[in-house]
Amino acid sequence: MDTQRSVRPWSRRRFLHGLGGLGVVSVIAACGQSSAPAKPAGDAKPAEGKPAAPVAPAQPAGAPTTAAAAKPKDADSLQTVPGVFNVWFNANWNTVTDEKIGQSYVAWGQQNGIKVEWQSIPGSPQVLAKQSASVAAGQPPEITNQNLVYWYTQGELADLKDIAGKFKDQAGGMYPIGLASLTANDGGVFGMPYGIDVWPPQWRIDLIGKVTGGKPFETWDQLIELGPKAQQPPKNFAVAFCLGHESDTVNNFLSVAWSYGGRLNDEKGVPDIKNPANKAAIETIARMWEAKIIPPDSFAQTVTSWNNETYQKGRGLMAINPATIMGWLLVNDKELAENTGISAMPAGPAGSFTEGSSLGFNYFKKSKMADRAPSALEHFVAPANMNEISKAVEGRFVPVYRDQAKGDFWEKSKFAEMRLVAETGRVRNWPAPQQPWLADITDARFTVSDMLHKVINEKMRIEDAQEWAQTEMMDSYNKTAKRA
Amino acid sequence: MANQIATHASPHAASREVALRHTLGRDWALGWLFVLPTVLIVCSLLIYPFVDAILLSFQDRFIGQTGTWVGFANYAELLGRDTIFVRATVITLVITGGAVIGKFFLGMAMASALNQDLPARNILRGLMFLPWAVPAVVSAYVWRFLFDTTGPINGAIAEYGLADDYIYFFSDARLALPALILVLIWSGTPFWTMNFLAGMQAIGQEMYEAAEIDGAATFQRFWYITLPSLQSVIFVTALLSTIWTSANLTQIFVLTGGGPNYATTTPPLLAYQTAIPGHRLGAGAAISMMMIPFYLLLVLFLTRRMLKQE
Repeated sequence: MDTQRSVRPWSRRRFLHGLGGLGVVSVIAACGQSSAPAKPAGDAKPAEGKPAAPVAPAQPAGAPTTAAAAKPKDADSLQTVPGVFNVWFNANWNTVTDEKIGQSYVAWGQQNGIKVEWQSIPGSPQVLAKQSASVAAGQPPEITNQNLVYWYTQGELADLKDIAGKFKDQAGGMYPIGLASLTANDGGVFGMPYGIDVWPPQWRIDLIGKVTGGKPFETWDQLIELGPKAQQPPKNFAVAFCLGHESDTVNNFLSVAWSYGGRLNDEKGVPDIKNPANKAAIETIARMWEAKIIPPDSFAQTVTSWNNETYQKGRGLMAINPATIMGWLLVNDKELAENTGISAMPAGPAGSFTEGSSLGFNYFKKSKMADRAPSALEHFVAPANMNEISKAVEGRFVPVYRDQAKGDFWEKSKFAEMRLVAETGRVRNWPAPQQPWLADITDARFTVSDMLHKVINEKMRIEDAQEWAQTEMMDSYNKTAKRA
Repeated sequence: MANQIATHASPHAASREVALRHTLGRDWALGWLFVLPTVLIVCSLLIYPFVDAILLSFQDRFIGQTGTWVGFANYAELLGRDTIFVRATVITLVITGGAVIGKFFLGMAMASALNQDLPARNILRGLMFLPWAVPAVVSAYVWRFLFDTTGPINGAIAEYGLADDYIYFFSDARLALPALILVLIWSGTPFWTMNFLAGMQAIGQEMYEAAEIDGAATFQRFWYITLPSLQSVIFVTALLSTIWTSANLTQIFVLTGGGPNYATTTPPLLAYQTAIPGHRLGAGAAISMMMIPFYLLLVLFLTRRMLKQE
């Protein structure tokens, strides 16, 4: 036995020791590797010719557009500040707008030696999920444009009163809704406005016009009466009215509710979904469903922006949505864009009301480069820069500065209705300022959708469904208030 | 005195070391050194998060905030009458049961077919594994396209006037669940087929020959030889598939998002929706914890069975 061992070149123990030693050496080597320069200086050669044009990928629904390729080749060599400055925003559903916004931050980064990466994320529930995960992990992005009031009241976003003060009177002054919709109860400004987002109906002039004499539906009752004549189910339906788990459901519901004198909350921002005036609005929506003028897949949760897709595919003859639909059509389907009109909201007994709000950016105070963010925001909202962006994306949103919303495009074209809404539109939490609990019921709990489901599919009494929704919203309200 | 203690302690320590070596093996120190990375990984990536999740489930904690201890409140909320969690649990049972049964029959049929001397058998076997090899997200998007109102199935319905209305596979509450189960069966069947095929190839040919001489028909040979011989394989495959199917998140997330109106919401999806978009980390953790006894039971059965086989 011993003899056998003595002739073995390696004993088990020696082998294990050797392997252990090799492991230790590998670990040391690996540690040493990380401190070595990632790339020899010579690799950072200047770009040949002009910088590569930013290319954002075509946008499949549900996939974020990132700017991995949006940086010129020599950006790394210009980078003097370590780290990456992240910008996350809600998708505009057309690459021109996404790229213009993203590139504006990239340009600022290049001027300041900072590497900027931007992402356009489709669907506000997806943005909220991504933001939440990043905040939970202690790695929020520097800049964002979604769920601002929510994160502001949680102490995560900055008060931009000073920056807003610098710009609010420039270029003819900002539209009042620009700042008003981004001002919190405490008077703090939780977002630097850059565009007025309006939610007008976008409708098929060719198909609806046939039954209305070339006009959009003027009242909800007219929509219910004439809609069946305009549509050809199952190929298309009169209205792509959102009922599913997405934020547009809240807007679509309020567009009806306001016209019946209803509201989401009272003047103090306390939920008021049980308001009796909302009952008539819910009845009207149920009538639309019974008249079969809403596509049956409206309760689906398979796409991130159902009404956009439904209209863009030609399955909806009308959709209430920001002009992202029109913006998408102008780039991707010019024929349908030609046949699409933008109109005032159908009216109810209390009148016709359209949602308006402000698109704005803010920065997370705990992000790594938070100290650089105010400079980035100032660059982005500077009138000259905004004018360039607004011109390039004409129609996606109304420019926040009044002087930039002048001329034939904004005064005479089909987009003139958007300018009107910028002057008269209501914020979602009307008659109160934006509320922090809104994000919870809109993008996480989907309370309005569930309330409508209970009435339409489960045949629950409307008052009972309202009571249920009121309890849910109060729960969100109380929990958010407790944390604020 | 000190020397005396030292001389007394020394043989005691030596004998202890001998005993330790006897128990743990001669190279125990080095052995533990090698095991250490695994222990560290298991502790940091499994045990710590698990214990943390248990503690979290007893807290009212929101993203970005410190938690407050609420005892069993999160659990009590879940177990109330007609809560989404209770519905989600029932839905999980339906999905898992439906998918496992479907995969069993389809997997057995495919394995039986592929066990025959077919022309181009190897190519067919390769093709059969494709659904297993394709990433779940990719296959889910393909199915979403197929079942969409503008997809080829509804396209054919509209083109040839096969029905008055489209089939709303993922947006009709009555159809979403069966459609989802169909996709899960499609993507999970190759795993079953693979296991059954391997099991079938291990069965001695002489048994079939003897049965044939005794006049056993095809079905009898399958019933009395194949099925009993595959008993262990069926058990282990069914347990693994039950664990994976009930914990599935990817395909449900992509295909239905849990909708319409919670018709396909399962506890894993509900835990995600509560904890991340809903910001209620404590309540989300409680949902996950509620599933633990079920999985522990399955893992216990599985482990016992596998150890028994060894």
